[in-house]
Amino acid sequence: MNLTLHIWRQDGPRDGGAFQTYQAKDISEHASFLEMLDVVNEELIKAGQEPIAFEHDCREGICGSCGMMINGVPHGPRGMIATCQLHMRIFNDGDEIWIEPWRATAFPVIRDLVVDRGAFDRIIDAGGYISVRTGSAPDANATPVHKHDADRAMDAATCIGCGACVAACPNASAMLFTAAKVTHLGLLPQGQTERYARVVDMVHQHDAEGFGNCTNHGACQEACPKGISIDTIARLNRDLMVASWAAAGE
Amino acid sequence: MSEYSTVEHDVLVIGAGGAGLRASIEAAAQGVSVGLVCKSLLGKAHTVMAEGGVAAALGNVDGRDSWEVHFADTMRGGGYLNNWRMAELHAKEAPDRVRELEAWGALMDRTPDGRILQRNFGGHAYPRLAHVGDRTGLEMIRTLQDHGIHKGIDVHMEVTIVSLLTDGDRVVGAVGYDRERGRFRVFRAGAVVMATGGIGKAFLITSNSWEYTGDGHALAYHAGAELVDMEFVQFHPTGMVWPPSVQGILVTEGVRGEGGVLKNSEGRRFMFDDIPPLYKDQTADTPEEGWRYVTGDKEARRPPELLTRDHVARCILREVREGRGSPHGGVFLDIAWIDEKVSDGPAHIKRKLPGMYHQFKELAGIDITKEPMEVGPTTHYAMGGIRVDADTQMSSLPGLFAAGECAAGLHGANRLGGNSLSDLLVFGRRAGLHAAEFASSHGRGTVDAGQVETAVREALAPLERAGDANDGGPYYIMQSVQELMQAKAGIIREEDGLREALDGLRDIARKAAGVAVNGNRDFNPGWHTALDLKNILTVAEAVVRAARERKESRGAHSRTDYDGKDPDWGTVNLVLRKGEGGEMDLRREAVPEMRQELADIIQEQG
Repeated sequence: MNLTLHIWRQDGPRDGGAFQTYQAKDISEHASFLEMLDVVNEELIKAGQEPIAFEHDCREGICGSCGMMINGVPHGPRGMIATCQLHMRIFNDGDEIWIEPWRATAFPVIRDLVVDRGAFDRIIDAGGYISVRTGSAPDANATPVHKHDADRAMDAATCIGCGACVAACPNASAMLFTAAKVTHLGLLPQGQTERYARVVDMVHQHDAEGFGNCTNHGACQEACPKGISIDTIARLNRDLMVASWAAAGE
Repeated sequence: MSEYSTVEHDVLVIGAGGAGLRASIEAAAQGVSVGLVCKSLLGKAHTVMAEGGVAAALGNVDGRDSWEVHFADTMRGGGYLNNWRMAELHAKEAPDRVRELEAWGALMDRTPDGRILQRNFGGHAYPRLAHVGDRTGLEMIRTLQDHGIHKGIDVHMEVTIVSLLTDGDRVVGAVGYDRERGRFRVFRAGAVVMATGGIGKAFLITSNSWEYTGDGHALAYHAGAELVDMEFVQFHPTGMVWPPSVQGILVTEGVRGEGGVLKNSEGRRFMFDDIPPLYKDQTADTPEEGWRYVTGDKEARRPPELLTRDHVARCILREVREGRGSPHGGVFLDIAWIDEKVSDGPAHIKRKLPGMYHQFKELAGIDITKEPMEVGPTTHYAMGGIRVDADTQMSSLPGLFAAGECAAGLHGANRLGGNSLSDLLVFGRRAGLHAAEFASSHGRGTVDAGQVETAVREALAPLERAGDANDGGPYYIMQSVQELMQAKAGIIREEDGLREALDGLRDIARKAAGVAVNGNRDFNPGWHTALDLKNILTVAEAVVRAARERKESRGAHSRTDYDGKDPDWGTVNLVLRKGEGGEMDLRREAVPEMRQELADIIQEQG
């Protein structure tokens, strides 16, 4: 099939960017979306032009590296997948496709379709972990975890940190990302000690990074390739409220 | 003088997968400063893709399991060429490392009373793999990443190392460049831990992603370290074969662990046709017994689909070569059939194998709860790698440590599924610990500006050369290595093919030495590929030389001209080292005699 692509090109964080138009010719319907971009890049390289920069790694939708807006939708129109799992068979010959990077103040564009998602690491750094001294393995079965809790925690822990939730949100909020982490650790017995300090610190960092507030649009859960529910945000809000009341009472 | 910035750390860890992260966490816990270099982004390493689980003799599901059984299983799987001390440490320490991970917030599937659930896997006598559905690696790397991130580790993302720096024998740092702008960075360190993973991209069909070009193997080798067991490359029996865009992507052994069976185009369960004598007593006689095994009957023996990976891969290849393959050159893996055994089979399959269901649905348009998958062997794992001391993980060069896939010894001639995740936890921790100790007692080494200058000059050469960037370009050269290795040094090998491979590699190396690339240093994938060529050619040559030397078939190494195991070769490891004149020297070394108590365990376990 033949396609017309409008791709965002931008040299660096401080440079201006613009859409440029390319023709993708003779693309197999069995190709993946990223392979289609590879083909375009090969042509660019042959012509002595700079290839389009984009992130990719595992090709299985599990590492969270890839991610771009495709026709205005994070990871493209398919739903419940990452960009690398998108295949050309869902497009038609002659289609026009608009491809651009995640748009958020907190995700500066590094080049073309590549954005800096370091803000996510800093949110985790603020509290998305359990502090245990390294080097002392616990005794066997010291922390039994109820299967039901483990399963619910897993639903939140499936987050791959791709950033689609931020890209989809009209406020560029990373609340779904933050809430997934808070929910996952807050459901586990080993996560209880730091539960309330965690939520306060992570939300504080989230705001400091320049992500917007959650106003319950729900676009994030639609865009999430892992189908993480905004129920996690409700959980985060509840924990945050408990933490605030506790602080006010002291 | 070229421009570069210099960064100093007590311990420099190269590679940010499970082994690198675990090493960084341990080193940081010792109070030294740690720098962690990732070729791509933090957490996007290959560990993420491990599906089946982490092997540890917790004994939660079957109380008969113990470190002794795990040790014996690992040695048997490795054709007894393993470093037995590593196999001992691994079996003893894996349970602690898994519990530690749990304490850090890792999720695991649970038994009804809340303990960690364990599943069956090929070559393991009892249910031993702690797991989270089929996304164990993701959960593990996430936990290590989240835990590591607040340890004060300096992370250098999207940096590729091109050369190690030495002071005499001692490794004192490394030179790398950042992918984004192509700026050079010099790392001065007290100790360096290599944790770069595998060499899968030396082959055409692989489950490995673009980073796996054998960087750690090659960097260590060119700095003077020894490599061992390089002839042993594991071909995972079940990779996707269709459509072409997903060829090589892994289909977890967990599918077979849950009851999936392999069939040829005639509908025959061909795995029953060839069961190796060593495993005869442990393998089911009938499909019915095999089904009882996967549903947890402790009296039943495992189905032949769960024999070791090397054997299953060869059986699949046999079916394909003899014309009984599937339409796209594989065989059929059927999990849908269990609908006749369990109530609501489709729901059961989706619950047990959510990742696989999703993977086939999205990538191949196949509903695995209704129809069989098409699968075939894919290059998966390098048993061989940097030779290390079992206890400290230090290589033959002082100050250079290695852990995870790029280190060798634990797995011998063939790795059991699930032993890689436990490997990187146990030995990642040990490497980090001993690297920190080394750095503390030796201080930072002296960096030789001349070595830096040479490394930078060599790295820039492809950009400055005039040449044909198309047909002779880096992608084409890379692909020609992959095609050659796939055809001549893959699952089945023989003398003529290996000789042709060696000649072919020599020709390709000549082209690679003159490779030219377009463009500048800013995010230039062509240039990055050109720099990977040296690594890929080094590991390819190491694989071919060792494979040609080992005139027998053992574990993952199969020779049509030397069928079966040769007892004389059963006590020999092949060691490779860079010679004085730059040539690759190969020597045979006797496997050290095993401690009596360990030999007794192997005797008892049969």
